[in-house]
Amino acid sequence: MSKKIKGFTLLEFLIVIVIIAVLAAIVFPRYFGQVHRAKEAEAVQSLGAIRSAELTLQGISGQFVAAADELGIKSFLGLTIGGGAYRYKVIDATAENFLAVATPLDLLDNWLQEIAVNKDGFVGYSPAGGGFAGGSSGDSGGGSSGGGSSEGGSGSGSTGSSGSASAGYSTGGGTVTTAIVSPVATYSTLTEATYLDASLEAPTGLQLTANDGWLVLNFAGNSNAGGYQIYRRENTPIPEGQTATYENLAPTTVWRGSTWADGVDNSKKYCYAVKSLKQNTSTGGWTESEMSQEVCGQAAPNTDYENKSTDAITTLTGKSESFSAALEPPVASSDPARTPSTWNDVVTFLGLNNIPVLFGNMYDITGATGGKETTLGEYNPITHAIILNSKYANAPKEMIASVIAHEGLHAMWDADWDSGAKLFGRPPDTWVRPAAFVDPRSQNSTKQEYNSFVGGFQVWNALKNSVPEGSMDSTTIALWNSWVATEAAFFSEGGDPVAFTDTSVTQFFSSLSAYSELLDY
Amino acid sequence: MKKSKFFNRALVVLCVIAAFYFVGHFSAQKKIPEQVLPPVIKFKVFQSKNPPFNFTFEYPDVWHARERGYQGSYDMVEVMGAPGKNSPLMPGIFVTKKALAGGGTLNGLMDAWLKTEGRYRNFKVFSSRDIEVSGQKALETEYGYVLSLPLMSSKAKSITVKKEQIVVVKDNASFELTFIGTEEQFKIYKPIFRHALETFEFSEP
Repeated sequence: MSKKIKGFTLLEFLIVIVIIAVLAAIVFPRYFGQVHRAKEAEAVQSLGAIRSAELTLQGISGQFVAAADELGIKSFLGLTIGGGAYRYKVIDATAENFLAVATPLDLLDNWLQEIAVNKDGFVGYSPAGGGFAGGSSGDSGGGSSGGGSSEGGSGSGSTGSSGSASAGYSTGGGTVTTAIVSPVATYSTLTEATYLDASLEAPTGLQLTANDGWLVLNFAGNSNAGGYQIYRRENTPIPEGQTATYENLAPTTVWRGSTWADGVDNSKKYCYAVKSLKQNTSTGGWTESEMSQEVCGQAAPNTDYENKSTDAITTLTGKSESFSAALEPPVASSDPARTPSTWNDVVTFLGLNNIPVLFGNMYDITGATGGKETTLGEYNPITHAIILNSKYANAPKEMIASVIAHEGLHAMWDADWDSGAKLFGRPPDTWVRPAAFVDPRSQNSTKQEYNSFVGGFQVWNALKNSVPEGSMDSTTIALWNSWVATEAAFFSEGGDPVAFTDTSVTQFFSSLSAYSELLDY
Repeated sequence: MKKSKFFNRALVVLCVIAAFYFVGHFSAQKKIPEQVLPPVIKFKVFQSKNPPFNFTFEYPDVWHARERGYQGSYDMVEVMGAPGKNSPLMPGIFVTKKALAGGGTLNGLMDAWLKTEGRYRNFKVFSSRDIEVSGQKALETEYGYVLSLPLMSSKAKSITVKKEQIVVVKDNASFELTFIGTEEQFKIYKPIFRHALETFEFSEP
């Protein structure tokens, strides 16, 4: 007969207690940690969704929206959230930012904390192993032209040390001014009177650079302005009691750049002033600022600049190297009068049309990435001149030649457009292509930019190995390095634009913020 | 025998603890709210009198639409958002129409496009799937690559560009719908593209 033992023995009981204690010590913190993290994850995910929706909304409407609770969030942002451990709201919503807050429902639950997010990401909180990075903000606002600069100063321009660029060129035609580096300056037609807006700031820091027969005006732009108008007067004494009388150099134009080349008489002194213009987004009308402070100077030969531009042009002169077959008309046109099948053709075009190559002091401009960017050069289609940034005057002639080729190709496209404009008139900004319009080779500015981009790079690709070692200063070396990176991204070793097809090119350039103001002609 | 009984009991205890843990854990999980279009966004319909553009779709009324004609090569509608203060790239939607050469298939059209785009640095296809656009079979591919922007600037940075490409064939023409943006823009504005797709319709001839 054996005695039956029922229930736990003391030993069993103690062992179970110990196991439970050990498991509890291991599992309970993890369990509550998991619950904690899961609840936080709810908030992180919901706030992430709110942030995405707010950024979408702000990118489209220019405004973030506030919402007092989950119902408001559903109404304004289309998001269904809540019902968990947190209550949600969006506060402090402006055009610039917002604050979305997740507050724990159970205030006694000291496991959870309030979590907040704004357009840049979480505020004082790092999601554990998830969520999203704060990072850059979403898009906002519209683009602006011109560019600010913190540099001050003004130019004199009268004394000049030496000569101009290649003299002996004459008029071309044109439509779009472009900088080889963004943003592209364009202009649009002004058909109505402007009205004074005293709150609109006038440009500052006007400076002049003297060239032979030309003055190059540059100024620090106003990021709120949609463009500028340039004014000039002869620097003669103003009779007492009278005010200066200026001539508006392009009264029907809103100039979107911050550099202007003006052909003038070397024997006279001139003063320049600029007004900012801004378009009312709802009425389409333009307002203008007060006149800026003026800058005065006198054109004069500049032997140093003249030698540098001549050296660069000589690098292209007589060269039978041709541009890529990938380029389009007018680069690939059969019309010899306007078609640069070779480098020499560009030089010939500039010479035949008396388009000078000038140097000008230029402020760095505020680029799309928010940083300062440098314009290498521009073609002014109204006064028909190529302007190179004097910051790169000491660059190797091969690099300057590349920029001249780029701007020269712009000049050719612009001249080509002018031919079309003679038939149909210069288009307004809202130009609708007439059915009978013969395909203008400069119709599409993105293509014009692309062709100039490729053509200029092909010159540099072919000449870069001729640059003597140690011949560049630090400014030029930085530029050289950026060109090397760009070339690697867009060109084959032989200089062919391998990364582009027709559609791809258009999409690429259309989506560049710096080219957003290019007009479609 | 005793041992077996003991372990059975211990197992029961462990199972109860595990069940308690998992039920608690999963009940705490919440659904991720789906990214949808904020209702306050206003849309307008793209429609054109230009014969090549025999389609309509909706896009945000503050985005800018522009028609491009290329005389036989292709026709394109682009709808661009505002440039970002900190972005060298604008988000946008392109609809490109081309004559269908040689009875091209959806796969052939997509392969040709990706071959071109594949030349960009760090090109990578993320996904590809069959969809329908306006009742037509279509092919959708999401991909990305890296660009140094701004162009030729000493301040250039590497920017990851993402694109969604959709090809569809209708009446002996190919229609390519492209959505482009930086990684951030792509995530934020994708609902806009989805809306454009959902509202895309071919007009009756």
